[in-house]
Amino acid sequence: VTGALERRYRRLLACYPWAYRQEHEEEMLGVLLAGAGGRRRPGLRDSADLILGGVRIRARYAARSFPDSSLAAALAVVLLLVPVLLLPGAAPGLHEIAWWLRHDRLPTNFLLTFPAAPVWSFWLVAAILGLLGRRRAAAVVAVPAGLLLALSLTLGPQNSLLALEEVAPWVLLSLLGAVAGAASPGARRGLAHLGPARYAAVVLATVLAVGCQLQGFHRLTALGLLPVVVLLACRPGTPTGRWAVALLALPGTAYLITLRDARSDLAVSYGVAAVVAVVAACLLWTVTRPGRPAPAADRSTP
Amino acid sequence: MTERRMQEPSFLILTALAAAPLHGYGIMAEVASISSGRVRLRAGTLYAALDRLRTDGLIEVDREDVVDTRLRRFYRLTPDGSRRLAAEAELLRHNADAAVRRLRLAGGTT
Repeated sequence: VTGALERRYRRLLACYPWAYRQEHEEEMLGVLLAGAGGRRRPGLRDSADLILGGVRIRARYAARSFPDSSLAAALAVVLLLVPVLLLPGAAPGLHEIAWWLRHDRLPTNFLLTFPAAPVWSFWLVAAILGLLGRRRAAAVVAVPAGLLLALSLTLGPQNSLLALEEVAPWVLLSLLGAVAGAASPGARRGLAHLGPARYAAVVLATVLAVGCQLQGFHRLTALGLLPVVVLLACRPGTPTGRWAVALLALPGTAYLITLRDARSDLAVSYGVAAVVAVVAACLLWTVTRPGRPAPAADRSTP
Repeated sequence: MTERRMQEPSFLILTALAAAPLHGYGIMAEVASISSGRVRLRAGTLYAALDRLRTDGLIEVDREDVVDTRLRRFYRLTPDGSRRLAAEAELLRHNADAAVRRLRLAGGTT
């Protein structure tokens, strides 16, 4: 009877992190069996309490190890890339302003011409704060900037559901940048992962994409190269790179969905977006699959 | 900066360890005794609290025994744990005294 009860308790203790079980499983089992009385199987309350305890300890272990994790490094990469990758989103507005300037005039109603101008100004401030290491301040500025971006374009002159859909990738990218700003160990760590050459390649590809957009190229032509450069620059062979690609795939997928110009393209763009989402999920699986020992807690046993 | 208030299970665990080092099952029994049976810690709650108290440096491992092939790990208060428990007890006493005084003034029961 004790053997069966012990097996059942051990199964419940599997909720705890591997490193914690190494240190405490036998001790906890002793306590559980001492308090079991004549019980044949764990009680419902005991089981729920053990599962909840396991979740708490897992959350603590994850929080303790987060600063050194590949996810934290990937967020640092995202923090470095998001301000650059947002530039193509601002390109249509810049194009409008460039047209007015070429004709030696200023728009009579600036906000009508470039409704998202205040939002991009917010984002510029957030990007500068982020790169200066003021990450929480950057996040505080970036979150409302992302939400205002959606609001300004849906309430702007091209008010339609399509406008919301078209702006969704940039809002997602803004919000991802805000999360990275608040949670990552800083853009410097992102640069350490990418290396200056890869970062310069992303900046160049972005400038090229913005230039192509301003010249009136089709969006697929203008931005087609950028995801490939970003994918390679993130070094997807490393866990940090896989996390970064998986995180950036979220706004990337949303962007692919917006690429359709006609009803006939609908299935193709959703299909491509689905493939990107599946690839991102596979990358996430490779970096989060169980079996890797959790980092040991910083403590000593006399 | 003010320290965060201690939760009741943590307070009772530190109180249980104030007199002598105890192992997990001993702490559970002592907490039930101190609280007159009102608080009965389960293993999951106990070990989550012990993990937090160890991380905060309020308790530490005293020794390990093996009884009937089962490992028993004894925990004891650290000097920081003693100070924190004394401060928390003083705060609770202060609040309880204030409550009793005000009830007396209002003619309530004491």
